[in-house]
Amino acid sequence: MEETVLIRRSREGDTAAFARLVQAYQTPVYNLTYRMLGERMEAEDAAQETFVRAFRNLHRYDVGRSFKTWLLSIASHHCIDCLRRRRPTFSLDTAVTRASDAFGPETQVIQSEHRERIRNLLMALSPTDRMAVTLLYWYDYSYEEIAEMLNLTVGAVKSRLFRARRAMAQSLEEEAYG
Amino acid sequence: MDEKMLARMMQVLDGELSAEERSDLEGQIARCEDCSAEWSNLQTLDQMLRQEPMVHPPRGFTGRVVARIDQRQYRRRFLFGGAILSLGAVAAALLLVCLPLLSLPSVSGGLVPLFEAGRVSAVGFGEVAVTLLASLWVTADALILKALPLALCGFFLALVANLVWLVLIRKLHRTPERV
Repeated sequence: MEETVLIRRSREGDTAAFARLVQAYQTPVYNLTYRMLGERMEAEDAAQETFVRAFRNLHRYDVGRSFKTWLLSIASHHCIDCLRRRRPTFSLDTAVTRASDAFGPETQVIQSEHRERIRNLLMALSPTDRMAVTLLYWYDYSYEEIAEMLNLTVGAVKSRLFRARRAMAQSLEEEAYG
Repeated sequence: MDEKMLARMMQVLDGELSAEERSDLEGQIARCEDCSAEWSNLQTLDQMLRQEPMVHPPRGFTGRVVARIDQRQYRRRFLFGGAILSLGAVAAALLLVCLPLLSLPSVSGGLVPLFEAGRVSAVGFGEVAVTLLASLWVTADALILKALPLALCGFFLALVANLVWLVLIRKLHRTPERV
């Protein structure tokens, strides 16, 4: 069924139609919340909350805009709110990764180590810089699209990406020599 | 190394430089040791990020989202129903308390002047209302020929507005379809 039809039916309260929209966009939304929050349980909760908020505010969605961008914008605002409220916590992901490393196949270990490295690099950035990097690398968004989503100018996005990538590259270098 | 060089490296990563500009930059990088190290780190990072796939949510994610939506809708309906029931209960309790109180001689005796004052005020308001209606009637009588079509239009508009309202209310109260 076409997306606009699913959106219209969801607006009328049809949760079955909305479930199909969730299925279609769950990965991009979850990936964004995971990259931003760096912890699986928190990321799932934030992704669920994104869809619940989207369902409640479907009447505000402008059909002329991309539905995916609208969802990602809800997710990004929610993640930034979560990060503001967040207290320092122990990451369950680290524990799970370390526990599974001992038993998982070699490739799985390499993958999870790779993911862990990226997670550490991203988590060292400010939330806005992290969001800009995430939107650029996982969503192929242009500078203009990132600027619109983060309420920044294109120049500010470029300078944030410049700063973020330089910081991450320096961390990699320190990791290699440290 | 200057910031300009770094900025151009970023532009290469984002595919913003032409092939000619890129080869020119690579020539400059090759002549500078610091630049080569920085460029190598940036390229490693870029490849690392580009190779990393999207993370998928755990199984059953959609079901959990729908359950959360249903739960919130149920909670909202429950709160609304609860509020209505509470109001009804408060009204019934007030009636139950007030009616026996009013039948007590001391209370009803004290209420007589209050009722009397209320009656006088009601009569006063009634007279004012009758005067207003009478003046309206006189005006309408004078304008009846011109006002009749307008009144009919108004009546039909009100009828249509009521029908639209009814449809909207029915839509709002319709139970969502289930899978």
